[in-house]
Amino acid sequence: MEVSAFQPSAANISAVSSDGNRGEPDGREHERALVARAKDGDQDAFGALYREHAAAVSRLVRFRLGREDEDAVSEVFLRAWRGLATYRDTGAPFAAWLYGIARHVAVDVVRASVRTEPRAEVPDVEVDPMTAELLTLHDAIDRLPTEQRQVIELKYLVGMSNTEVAAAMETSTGAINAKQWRALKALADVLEERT
Amino acid sequence: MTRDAAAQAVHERLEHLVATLPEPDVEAGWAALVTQLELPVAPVVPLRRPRPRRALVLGAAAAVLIAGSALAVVRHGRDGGRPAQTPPPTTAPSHVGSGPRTHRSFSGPPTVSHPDPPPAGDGHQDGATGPSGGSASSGPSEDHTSDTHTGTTHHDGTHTPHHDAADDTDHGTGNDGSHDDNGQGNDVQGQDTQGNGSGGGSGNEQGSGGGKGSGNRGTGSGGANPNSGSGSDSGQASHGQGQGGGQGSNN
Repeated sequence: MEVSAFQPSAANISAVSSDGNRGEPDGREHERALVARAKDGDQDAFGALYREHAAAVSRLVRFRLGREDEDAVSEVFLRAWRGLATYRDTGAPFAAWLYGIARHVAVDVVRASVRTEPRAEVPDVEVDPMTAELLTLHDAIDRLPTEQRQVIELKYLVGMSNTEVAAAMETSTGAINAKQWRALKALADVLEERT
Repeated sequence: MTRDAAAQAVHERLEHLVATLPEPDVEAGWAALVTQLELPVAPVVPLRRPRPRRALVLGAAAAVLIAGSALAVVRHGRDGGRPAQTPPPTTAPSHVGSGPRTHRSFSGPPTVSHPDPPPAGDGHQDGATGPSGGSASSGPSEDHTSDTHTGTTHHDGTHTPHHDAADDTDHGTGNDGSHDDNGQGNDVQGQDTQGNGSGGGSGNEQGSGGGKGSGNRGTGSGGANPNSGSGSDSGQASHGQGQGGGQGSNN
């Protein structure tokens, strides 16, 4: 197998993104226009951004927390709305900025849950296979180095193309391909150790 | 399974997981969010509480500081006219011994002060029997009648006769030792006593009596050494020239 097998393809992007044209110049221009309008206080433009990225943010939050949390997703977009004035277009996609906010929100939620004292015993419930798989992969990804973990999350959870991941991480596409390849092999080793 | 195949399997697992995650209800989520967007954000008001107690505490601290400084100045001025109390003088122990004194290493201040300090200016009390004059000369036998003899004795006890006039009174020329104070003590320059030896010897045939000039040693004295420092007195005196008054008489 070669690294080129993990090159971004239209099928990969469409599988995880609701906007198949996001990686193209027209999609970027459209997104920039929405962001500019939202910074001026246009809620409809921000609503369009929400509809475009809500699924990716929900996946990321679910992956980080291990459960679905609509409040956390809402908190991500609420912070984005309040912090739009500080947003600077550096060439990275808007989803990369949302990804950073989502990570902070997930950390805050985890910390808040740690501080909360349980009021009752948590009943033992069966974990559905999807959640078990999600937790297994989540634990394995958490053991990766930071850059490799970011590549995996941006690539598979947020649904970015390798070019967008490269723009978000301020590196070249070839470097992202190599990091993705190494991350997948490291993940395979970690998962094999667990089994 | 090779590592490449394992990586491919992980890739497929990730894609399958993402594909199977349920899609959120976007419209419901937006409807809930848009109500929060319209809420006014609470303004951030800088916290500026009046702190009257801070000024009070600072004022009290300043008053205590000033009062303490003033008290210290007053006490210092009151004690300024008094002579400074000095510790009791500790004198260096007198050197009683034979031979020229040498440097002694000083190790700290003396622990016991000497009860009888040497008289000032008297130099060291040397009862030494070192290389001093006064030893019986064993020179050739000569009658020394009324011969004021200036006996110069040597270290080896030999005597070199001198024929001086009777009224020749040589004062001892004992050199004051070179005081080498390595320490911080005030070393009083000692005075040499005059080597006024009085010849009391009686010559015999063997001439062993003449000129028993016992010149007092010019003992260079380091004087009272009140210092308690690390100075070492090395007042090494040369021999004084005594007046030989030996009378030779034939037995």
